[in-house]
Amino acid sequence: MPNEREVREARVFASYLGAASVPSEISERYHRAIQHWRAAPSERFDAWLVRLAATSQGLTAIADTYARFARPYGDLRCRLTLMLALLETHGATHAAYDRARPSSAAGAWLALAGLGTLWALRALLAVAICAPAHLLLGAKVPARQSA
Amino acid sequence: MARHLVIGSGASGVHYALTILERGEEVTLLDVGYERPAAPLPDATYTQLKEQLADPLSDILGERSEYVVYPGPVSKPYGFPPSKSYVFRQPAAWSLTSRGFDPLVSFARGGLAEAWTGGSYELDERDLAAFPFSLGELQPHYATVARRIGIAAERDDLERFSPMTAGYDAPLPLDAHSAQLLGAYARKRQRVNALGVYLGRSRVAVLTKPLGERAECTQLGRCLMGCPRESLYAPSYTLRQLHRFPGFAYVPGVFVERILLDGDGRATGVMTRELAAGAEKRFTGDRVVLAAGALASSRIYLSTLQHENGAAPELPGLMDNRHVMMPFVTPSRVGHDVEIASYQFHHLALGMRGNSAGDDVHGQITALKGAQVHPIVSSLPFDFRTSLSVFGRVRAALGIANFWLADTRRAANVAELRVTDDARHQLVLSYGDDRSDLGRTNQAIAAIRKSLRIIGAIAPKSQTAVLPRGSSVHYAGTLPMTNDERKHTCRADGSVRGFERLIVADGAAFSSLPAKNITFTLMANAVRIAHASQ
Repeated sequence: MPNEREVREARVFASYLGAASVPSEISERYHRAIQHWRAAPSERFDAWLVRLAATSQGLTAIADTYARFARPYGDLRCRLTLMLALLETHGATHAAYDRARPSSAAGAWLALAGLGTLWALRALLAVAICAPAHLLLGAKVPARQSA
Repeated sequence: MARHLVIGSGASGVHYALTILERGEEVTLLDVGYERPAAPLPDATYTQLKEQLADPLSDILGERSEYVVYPGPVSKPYGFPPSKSYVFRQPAAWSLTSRGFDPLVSFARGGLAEAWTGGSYELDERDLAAFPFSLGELQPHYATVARRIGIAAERDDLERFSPMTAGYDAPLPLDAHSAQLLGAYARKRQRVNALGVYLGRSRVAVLTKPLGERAECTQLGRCLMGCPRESLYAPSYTLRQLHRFPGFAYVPGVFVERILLDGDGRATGVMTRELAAGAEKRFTGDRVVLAAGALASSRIYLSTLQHENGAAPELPGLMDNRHVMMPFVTPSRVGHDVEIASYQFHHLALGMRGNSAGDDVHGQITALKGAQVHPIVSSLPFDFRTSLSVFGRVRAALGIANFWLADTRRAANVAELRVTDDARHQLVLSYGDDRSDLGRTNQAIAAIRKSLRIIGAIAPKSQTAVLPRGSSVHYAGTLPMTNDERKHTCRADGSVRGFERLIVADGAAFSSLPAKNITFTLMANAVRIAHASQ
């Protein structure tokens, strides 16, 4: 069974990915998959990024933004990929992911421009917060293998 | 009455066998034969499946979520679900190592074509230039196969690359994105054609009307999982048909080790090993037909020579289509809605004529509809939350062009056998690119990217991936049909020189590898060889 910290991590990551609630099967699957990974221990910086990301949704966004270009195949990106896969597959949560977001073309482009601007600002913040820790703790990690 | 021992139940094996059985002769089909699991809830769409399955997480992602597509250096836009794991399962007796080549091999009932996306294109004279028979000798057999499997197609510009002599069914309804691209092509055809590129509807082995026990496509969006209505063709459906013939015997659960030869080099049977008990078992027949797929058939042939002579030669001429994956976005479709439950695979195809058949390019274009979200979202260049928001708005605008380059037989690309320390026979494949490969690939990438741009789609350079050799899943050429009286080659009728009554009916016998998907031709050629095998 997942411990309190792991349950919290699953809940924070699921909320960050847009799920209103996390069915217990998803928490259990998430935990079980991660237990399986632990045959290979995380690098120190990856472990730090995961701990930071699990603190709150806001920090998940910061850590994930940094991880996308500094640790694209690292532990955090893999955990978020796993959570997204579980959310898009479970009967209670899939609907939010199995759709497009139709709108007028102008509205869509405006939204994309806004998303891009916010992302750029977040990227600056992410570098300011995560880069020093990366310099202190960092090391490269191999990509995780899919089935 | 002749008894044919057919090895392998893939596209070539089942169509060879069906032709023989229809003639009233007998067939014993030997197969490892891992079986396709029954598809649950056959009328549910992909999204309904998630709501109605008792345990969708296990059925779609695996018990331990092992089918999740994690981010990695090679971007994978999708992963096969657990329902397709039978296609890639391998017996312990099989051993393969390779250099410069990363192949997939199947021991499933139906072989690799159980995961086929259905692209069915007749070859033309130019494609067959290196083969020792004419197009006229092959064409009637395309018609036979098209009648057996059902192919949806439409006459268009691609007919200049791929004739339409077989009988075809009405095409599938186009999705909105593909229709838009095809409309733009119709308006700007001249500019695209000036680059040597032509666009049209893909011809797919999908039913648009019922055929026997198989039902027509109702767009459930479960193509990748395995169509529960059997609309998308798989060779295991033909295998099921074979059981209706009294002269047919199916023997699954055996691994064919070698061909048995008499003192005159005549094939008299095969030696197999039972997967469950591990015991050797001998089968005899009047013809032995290698149809296990080019790589597995090469291993059986080499193991036979190793057993007979104490050494096996190198088989030169291993071929594989260079495969390029080019994701694109059509900006004018940003903000549009998308039909999630729809035919998942390609609706459009492209052809590009090179200076010779060896320079030709063939491709298929898939507009994104229903799909796993996580592999795509994790590959976007943002954090997950931004990527999900962006993806929702651009989903209807995304697509992927997959294209393949022709290949020719080259002496340096070989299949050979290694006897391991524990006396196992290991197939060793070596493949090295020719200097001209890079230039041809880059030319094709540039022309296709420009063509997409002309019809309103942008393919970012950074997203285009030249995949490792072996990923096309079209392997051929190790025992080629030729008119030259050389060892380790076949005659035009598939019979192997030096070994009476031994026939190659799969891609190992191909004399060159056209850019077009070869599965339809593998089946037609197997029918041609069966007719020749009197």
